[in-house]
Amino acid sequence: MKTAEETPLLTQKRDQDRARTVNLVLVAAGVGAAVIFALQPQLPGASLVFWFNLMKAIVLALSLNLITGYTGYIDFGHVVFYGLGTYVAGITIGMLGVAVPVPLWVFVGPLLVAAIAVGVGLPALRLRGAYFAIAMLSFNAATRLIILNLPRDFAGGAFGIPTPEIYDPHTAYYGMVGLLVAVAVFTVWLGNSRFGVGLKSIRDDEVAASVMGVRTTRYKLAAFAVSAYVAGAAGSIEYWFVAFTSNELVFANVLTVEMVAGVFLGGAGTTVGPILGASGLYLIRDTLWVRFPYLYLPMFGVVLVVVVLWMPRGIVGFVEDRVPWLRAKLK
Amino acid sequence: MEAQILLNGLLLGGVYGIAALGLGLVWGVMSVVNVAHGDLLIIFAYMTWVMVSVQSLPPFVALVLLIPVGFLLGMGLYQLVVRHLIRRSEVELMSLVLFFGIAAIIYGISAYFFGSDFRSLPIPLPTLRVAGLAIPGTRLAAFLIGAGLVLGLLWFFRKTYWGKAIRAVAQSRNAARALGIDPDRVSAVSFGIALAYAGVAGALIALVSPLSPTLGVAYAGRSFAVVVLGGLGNPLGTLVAGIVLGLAESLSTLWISFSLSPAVAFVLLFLVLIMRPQGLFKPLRSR
Repeated sequence: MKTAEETPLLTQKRDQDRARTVNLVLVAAGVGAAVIFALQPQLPGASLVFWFNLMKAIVLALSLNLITGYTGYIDFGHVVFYGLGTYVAGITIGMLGVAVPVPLWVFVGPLLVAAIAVGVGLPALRLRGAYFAIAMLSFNAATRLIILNLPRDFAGGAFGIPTPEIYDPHTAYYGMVGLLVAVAVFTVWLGNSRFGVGLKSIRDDEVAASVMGVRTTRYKLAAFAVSAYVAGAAGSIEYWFVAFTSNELVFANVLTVEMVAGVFLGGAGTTVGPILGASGLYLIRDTLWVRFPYLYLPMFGVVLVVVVLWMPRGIVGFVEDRVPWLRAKLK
Repeated sequence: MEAQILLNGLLLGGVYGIAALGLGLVWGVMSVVNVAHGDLLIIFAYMTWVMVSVQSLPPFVALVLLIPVGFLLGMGLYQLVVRHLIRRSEVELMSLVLFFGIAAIIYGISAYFFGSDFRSLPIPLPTLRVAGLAIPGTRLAAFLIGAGLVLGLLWFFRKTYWGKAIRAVAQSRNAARALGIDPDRVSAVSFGIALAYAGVAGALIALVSPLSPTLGVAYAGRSFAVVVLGGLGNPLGTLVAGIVLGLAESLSTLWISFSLSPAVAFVLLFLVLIMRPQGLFKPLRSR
């Protein structure tokens, strides 16, 4: 952790408090989670798919958190990078038949997704607030339609890209463990780094940040690219896990709703927040979905409404505000 | 052939104009970005479908009934939810998240009741033939109703007390309050008007196209494209922008596949946002 002199005065106190809480909880939760996740396929009675999807939900929420939580740019089309991640892997491996080692390619291929994010971000990140959110919403919708209409022997059309020969969920599972650990560590590092403080200063006041010498364009683009890379890698690993991708599934707005709800429920711009939010929602969804398949989406909606109206800083902020003794104990 | 395509686009444009109006009005008056607008349009369209197919009401009676329904729903939504939001800082950003949630709720409701099948209504009016062009009567009526109501709002803003009050609140809530206008009541009425217009637009959508719950995103994209192009809450600009979008969509079918035509709105929106985010027309609050 860096010393206090390096952080701007405005957000210093609150962020320090938060960082301490966050780190303590993280160490405890991280050790426990790592053990569970690494051992999981050997545990009796638990389903591989359940744990894989839980990790995916957390990774996607952490990915959105980088651009929306830290930088303050609400992205309503974030699922596009996840979808492009599945298609980058699907097109290279499934359609073009390039003989790349799959475990390596699911981490290298998404660099292309990051490059696409830089290409889109250059114009789109010049927009603020609602305009950025809507530009991304439309970018996702247009991308989905364009991929649907690409030649069928290149991108699979409405049929999708089934690739049974790469089916290997047990190895893919560990790919997702690796990605989850990497993005969680990155987010913890970000909380106290110069880069992270720069991003938060953009969120708090972009003009002031640029006057203070933060290279806002560069910072925003970098955060956006990393965020897109993480979502893209989650997509590539998902394609590896199920050996299939399809337009209908991987560009669905439902996934963006889940990410946004997870981030805001937990607490945007923190590390534990999105993890808590995404896991909580995932557990509720998993129980509800079987019995009431139509209920879970409206439930996410209700969560967003409640969070915005009554706990705008999410669970983490709520705990910090309402339960001071807990915060004192955690220090 | 080209003339027919232009005519189709023009007729569609009236519907796009009225569909976008409510979004721009609320955004312009209280900085609330109703991302749920597309899904609201679709739920109103489904209400029309139920009234016409199940209750066997004439379509234009259903349309008129949706005006008070939309108005009351808008007032209710404002009193229950938006009122609490509007007193905060960062209204615009938080309203995005809030209405993103409301969109998920509405989408879940329409998916639950209507599933993923396409539903459509019988076409109530015959097709006219003028100078080699086929003019579908229903689409012509939809265009006239849409365009008429949008232009009617122009009169409302210029000549009535409530219209002037709405413009005053759009310019400055505090100054309006100092002049004895209650911004809260005016906002509630604006929200009501916005959803009444969305109700009519939903009925028109049900008349001119088959329905599916997933259409909400397409109509959200179209409405945002029209609002950004036409200026927030500017009725004339909204109508012109709607027609521009309608023409762009139908002309695009000359070169690209029909199934890609909803992407036209998204590409247009993306390009306008990046090249001219202030739009082509003045927003409501600047007059």
